Amino acid sequence: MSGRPIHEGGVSGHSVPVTVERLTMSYGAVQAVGGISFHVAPGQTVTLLGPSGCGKTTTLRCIAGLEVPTAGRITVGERVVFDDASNIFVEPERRNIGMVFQSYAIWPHMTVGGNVGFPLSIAGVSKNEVQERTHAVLELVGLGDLQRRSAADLSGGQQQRVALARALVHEPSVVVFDEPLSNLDANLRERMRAELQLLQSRLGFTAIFVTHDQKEALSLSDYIVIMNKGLIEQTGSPQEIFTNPATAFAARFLGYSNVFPGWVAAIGDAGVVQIDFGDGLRLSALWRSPNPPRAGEDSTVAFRADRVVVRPGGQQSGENVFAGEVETAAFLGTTFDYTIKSGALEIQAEGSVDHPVSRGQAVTVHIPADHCHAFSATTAA
Amino acid sequence: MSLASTAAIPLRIPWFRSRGLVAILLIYAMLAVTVAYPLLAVLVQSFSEGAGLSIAKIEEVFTTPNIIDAVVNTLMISVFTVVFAGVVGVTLAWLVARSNMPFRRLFDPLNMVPFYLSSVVGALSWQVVAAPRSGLINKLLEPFFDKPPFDIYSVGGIALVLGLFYSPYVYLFTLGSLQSMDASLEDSARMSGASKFQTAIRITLPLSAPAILSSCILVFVTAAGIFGVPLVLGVPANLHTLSTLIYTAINEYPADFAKAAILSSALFIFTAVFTVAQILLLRGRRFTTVTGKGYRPRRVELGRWRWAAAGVNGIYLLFVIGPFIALLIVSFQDAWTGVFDVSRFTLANYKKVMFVDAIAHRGLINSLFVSTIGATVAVAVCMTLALTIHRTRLPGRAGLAPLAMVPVTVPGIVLGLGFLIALVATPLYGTLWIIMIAYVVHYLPTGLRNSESLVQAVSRELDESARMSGANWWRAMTRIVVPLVSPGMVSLWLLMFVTYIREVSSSMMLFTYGTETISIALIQIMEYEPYGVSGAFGVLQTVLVLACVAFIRQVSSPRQINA
Repeated sequence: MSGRPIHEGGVSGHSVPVTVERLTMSYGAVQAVGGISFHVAPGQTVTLLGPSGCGKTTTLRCIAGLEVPTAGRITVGERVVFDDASNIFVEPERRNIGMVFQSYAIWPHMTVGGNVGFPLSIAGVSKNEVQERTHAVLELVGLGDLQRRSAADLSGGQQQRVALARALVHEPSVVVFDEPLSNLDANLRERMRAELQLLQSRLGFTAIFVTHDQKEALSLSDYIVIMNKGLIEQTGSPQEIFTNPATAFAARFLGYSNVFPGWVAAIGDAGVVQIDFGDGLRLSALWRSPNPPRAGEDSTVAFRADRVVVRPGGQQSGENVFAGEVETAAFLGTTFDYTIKSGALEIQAEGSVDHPVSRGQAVTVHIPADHCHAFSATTAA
Repeated sequence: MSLASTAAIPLRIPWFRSRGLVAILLIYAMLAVTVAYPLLAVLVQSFSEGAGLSIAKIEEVFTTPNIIDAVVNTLMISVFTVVFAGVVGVTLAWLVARSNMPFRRLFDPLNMVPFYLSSVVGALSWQVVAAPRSGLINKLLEPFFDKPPFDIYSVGGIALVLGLFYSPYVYLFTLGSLQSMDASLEDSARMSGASKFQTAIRITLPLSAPAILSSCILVFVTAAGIFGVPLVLGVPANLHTLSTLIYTAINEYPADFAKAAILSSALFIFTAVFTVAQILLLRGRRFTTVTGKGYRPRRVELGRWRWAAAGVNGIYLLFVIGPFIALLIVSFQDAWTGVFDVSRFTLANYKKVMFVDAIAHRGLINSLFVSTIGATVAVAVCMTLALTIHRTRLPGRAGLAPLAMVPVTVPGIVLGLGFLIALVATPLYGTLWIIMIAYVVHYLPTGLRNSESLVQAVSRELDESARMSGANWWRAMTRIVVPLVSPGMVSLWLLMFVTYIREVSSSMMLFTYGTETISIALIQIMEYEPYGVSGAFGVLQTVLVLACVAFIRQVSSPRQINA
């Protein structure tokens, strides 16, 4: 995904890697980021994903230079921009990083062109060139005709594009995005997501996103860093982490709606364990934690609602097959959402609209063992 | 964080951060010299009669009978003032914010007018109306009484004028609290069976209590330290307060600095204790009733009583504006006979104060000069402080606001004495600059509070995005933040200008022959000229102030800037 010039005097890509090592950020006694490390390859799109307060925005702001970390080292390309050991701190304006803010931070006292051209005029680029390049990048984001418009009266989507154009205009080698899509309505968000992806692959800059939206993270990224309480829970490609969550927290955050506590009752071959939930309920699951399972230890099991197979009638049996009763049924258009009570468990399940079951009906649920993930409870969140 | 520059790689930018450190040290030094030093000078002077430190003089001062009288007078004036201003301010605020009183939209800005006017001009206009022999009302009622029924030269008279002029403080605070209150809090009281008036008393009022109480404390301490009105209405009747005694101690011969300092320290300690209490009171509970809800509380239907309510508000405005109108009429008469006489219409009084009378002319010019430069300096200083506090990471920035807020606890007369003691031996003494510095310092808290809210209203992301665009700190401030707050800075400038134009207390301690301000000139003219002339001068000052206020309301929403 190497960049190429896309326009005469326009934006050209020249991507560099970003490395974060042992990054720590403390506010007094509170540790917002607890010594995390990750690497972003040149031209890659990496997403920091996690709930609010997990330290993802702080991490992004440390990379941008808007926060001074307590400890660690940040390297952008060849250049160390922060290192507590050798007292290096590069001011944000010297890092050559573009940033799109959550609020877009469009300056209301300037025109659209004034906003987008600002980084160039600060850099001392000649007036004509500022004009030309501003126009080129506005064309790129689809706002070519708005250059003279006052920035105060733009729609949300237009503001987003202006913010993006401003972050790209001075050809930064890295662009960071702080929840860039969270202020847009659902339709616009989908469209902007696609456009962002297209732009990024055309221009080839290294991109770091922050989001709490797992869908956004999965669709945008080459690589995802899941964060929780200032630490990294899991890193990997979208497919990897979605199919093989490494912790119960990661599973829950990626939309695994069934997460149940139990204990290890038996340890089988090939990473298969038997988890007991009491009430005689037992489930075969794949052991995902790095430490080997110990018989009797507390464990958490997670599986997705769409992996649960619901059949009418309560009489079948087999591995991971339970009898239950439909407690709630909600019609969602393309699917049915069920809550199925089985012993002590309330299982969330998704069913086809062609073969619905109804409230109060006796059913059997089958959860294939290779879709059940078991985690050591000591590492679970 | 230890960010000393020892890096082998020259990427650290030590010049910026070390420049920042130099800047913050300079700011601290400036505040130490202008805020802390004058105050310490007063406190030290209290113990410095004769050689070394002693408390002998303190004992002597506080056993003098006329000083005990003055303390009693000061307390009585403060209590009467706060009761008057509290009742009037809360009543009017509730009527405007929560009732269907007719004309409330018209009354709202008018109720704030005294806030901007000079209470000395107010005192002068009340002399015209209620002086024992010559007052308009006393003249009208003369036939029905043995002796004039009203005497403005009394504790009651002083408290009346102060009460009228400080009601807007309580009004403003209470109104703000009532308007920002979550409507559902009251609605749920109604749903629980409370009547409208039970709801007002048991829900609305307690929720506004912090705002009411804190504004009342503010009025209480301001009244205790006030100087102009007691000087005009008390001293002629040989009625002294602590502030007038401080002034006399300096102006008798030989000047008794120790006595003035002791009285000032006592006054300062008194006001400081209450002001700190007020700040603490407001800090914890300020936002408890404020929600972001878009809908406003419902108004109480007063039925037939709504006309009575309008009458109450009208009477307040009559008490404020009526005497000013009387003063206006008097200023156009060549002699005052107690009734307006068309044949006696004249512009001579205005001609005299503008062009003939040297002191009046000087006062006008001096005040315009001091207020223009002072307001400019104040806006620059306050914006610098606000940006340093809210837009840098410099060490020690958190201590700036508390230090700059100290003058809020110091009555103007005490601050004036502090500057006098501190600077009497320097070339600054006897210049307009010393007066200007005193103004800037005295109203630093007001300026800083307003500047802080202006700066805080600008989202941090707006200047952070400038930094990410390659602008350094200075450029991010000058190209983004300052342009965005500039309308607010204009309002603040005008507010400071108006405040300086009507300042009395510290000017009175610091002026010398040639550096009289407009208020000083007015007080001097009142001593030797008839009402017509001083009236004309008072009207002139009032018109100047009102023109600025009208302009402030044009450029900003009225409650964006508050004192």
